Amino acid sequence: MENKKPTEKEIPDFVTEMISKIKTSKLSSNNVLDMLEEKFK
Amino acid sequence: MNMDIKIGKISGIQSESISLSEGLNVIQAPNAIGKTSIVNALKITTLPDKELKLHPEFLNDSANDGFVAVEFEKIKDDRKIRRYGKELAVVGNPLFNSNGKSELLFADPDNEIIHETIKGNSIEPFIERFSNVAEYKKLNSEVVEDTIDKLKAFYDEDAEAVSKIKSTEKEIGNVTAEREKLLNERKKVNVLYEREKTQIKDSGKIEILNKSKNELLEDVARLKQGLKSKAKELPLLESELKDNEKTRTEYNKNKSKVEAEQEGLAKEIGRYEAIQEDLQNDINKLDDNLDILDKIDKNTDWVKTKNCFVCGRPITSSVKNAWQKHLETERKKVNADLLKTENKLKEMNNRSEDIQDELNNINEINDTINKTNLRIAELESGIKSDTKDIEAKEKAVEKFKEDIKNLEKQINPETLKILRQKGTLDENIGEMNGKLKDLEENLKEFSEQEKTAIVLKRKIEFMSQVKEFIKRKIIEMKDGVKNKFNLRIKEVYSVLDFKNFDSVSINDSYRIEVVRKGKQQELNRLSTSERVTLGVVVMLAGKEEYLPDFPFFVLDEVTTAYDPLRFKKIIDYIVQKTKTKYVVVTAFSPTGDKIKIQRSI
Repeated sequence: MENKKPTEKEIPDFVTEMISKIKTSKLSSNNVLDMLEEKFK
Repeated sequence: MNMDIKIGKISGIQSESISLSEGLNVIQAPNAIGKTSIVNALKITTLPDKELKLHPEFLNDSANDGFVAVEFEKIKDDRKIRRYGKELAVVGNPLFNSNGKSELLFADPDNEIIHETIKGNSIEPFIERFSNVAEYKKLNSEVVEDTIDKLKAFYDEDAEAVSKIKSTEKEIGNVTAEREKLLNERKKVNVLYEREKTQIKDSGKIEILNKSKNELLEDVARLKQGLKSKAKELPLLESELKDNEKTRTEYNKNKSKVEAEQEGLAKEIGRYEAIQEDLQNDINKLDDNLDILDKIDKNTDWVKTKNCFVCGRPITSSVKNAWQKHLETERKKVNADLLKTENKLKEMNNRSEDIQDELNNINEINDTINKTNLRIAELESGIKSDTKDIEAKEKAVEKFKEDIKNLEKQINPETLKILRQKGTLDENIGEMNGKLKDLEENLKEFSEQEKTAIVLKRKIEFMSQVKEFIKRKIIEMKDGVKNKFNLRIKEVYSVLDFKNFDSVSINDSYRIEVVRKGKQQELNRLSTSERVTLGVVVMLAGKEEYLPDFPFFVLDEVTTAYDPLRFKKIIDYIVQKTKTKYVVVTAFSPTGDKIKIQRSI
């Protein structure tokens, strides 16, 4: 199955999600890897 | 309307009450009487907890706690500070909300904007604090870059396999071409062989022996090809193992210390959680009591009389109000303690998570070492058993060759030549088949890794775009703040009408820049008094932009002393042209032993 490639338009949303995670709790690179896994499903 | 301030045990003041009038308030006294203490008291009403706690000098030397109480408009509240180790513990929220921008309110020698302007430095860190730059910077340096590194490490492993695809495909092509050549030659020899076959006694037997021998040779070729790959992988794994063991030794040096810290933290977290629960229970109880008072007031069904349910005496409205005030004050205190406990818990939990990350890293490295060791053992045992297998098979081949040789003795030389040609060709074709089998297996494995590498490459590209986006966003946010400041600086500067510069602005490297007589000038070419004045102009511009309704602005005598005439103009500007209600200026007085507040300089 071909993996979905995120578009440039999605980047601001992705960054907003990361920022909100940084604000509420700690955001580690492992969380980001999980977020990417979800995004590239 | 006046702003009444009571100060208890703050800096040099034991106890003092002052009343600020709208407009200018000049706090006059000789040195060491308490002018700076009043400024510190105003800072206590304003600074956020995390800044205030770093100022133990705000507390009187002989005291363990102090307070500042304010009565102004709807505010009738106090904020307390207590000695807490080398820092302060703060009880109560800021009485005036500066949204973390208190640098815009106190023009004294400690002010960062004035400080950096005097030195001609960039005020970039200050500009950054006015937007969410810190979060974005942290995101890039601590998370995004780390994620990209991790993805690259994963990608490198798979990319190595991808790089092998081409060379393997090329090798498959070469072996296939060679095999084709041999197959064509064998076709020709086969024609000759079929013609001579009837002349050969035991031809069937020889054919069977040859077939078995060739099958064994094909297998030997496959095993030898496999051995080559294993022999290449082994030293790489051994070097990887060495590196990881080195890292583990480094980690292990600190492991027991880190574990002990984690254990200590777990206990402390437990203790603080219990405190948190107790404080929450206290708040619930206070809320229940406030609720009861509220119900008494509304005379709801279950409260039939207005008598105290404890002592039975009638509850007058003044008793009720006093109780309510007492309970509300208590609630505020407990709530402040609860917030402090929650912050401490958050801090400890963050540290604990960091330690856990470190411990997880140690476990991860141990896992990797175990896996590498397993793979090395697997390879070594594979190499051993393959070598043994090859030896046995080669021995069997020799035996077949011997038997064939014996049978061939009766064959005439011409026929034997053809037979030998066919035998050699069969052997070589078998060897090619063996090699091909192993190469194709490898190719299949590499192709699987290629699929993962493609996904990883996309993730790396995406994260690199994220990194660039964040960088752009940071510049955008800083420029936004800079532009807002510049518009206000222009406005403030034109009203002040100082005329010594054509323009003042913050430039692209976030330094204050002036143009004098059409020429751009660096700050270090200006006099100190000009630089201090510029720093205050930037502060005022910021206050007008971000905190126009904040009730006070403070100018310290050390600041105003640089250029009294210009500061007179600045003070007039704040009093007459801005919404700032109270302008507090400290001023040296050669006589007297008390603080006096005057309405003019």
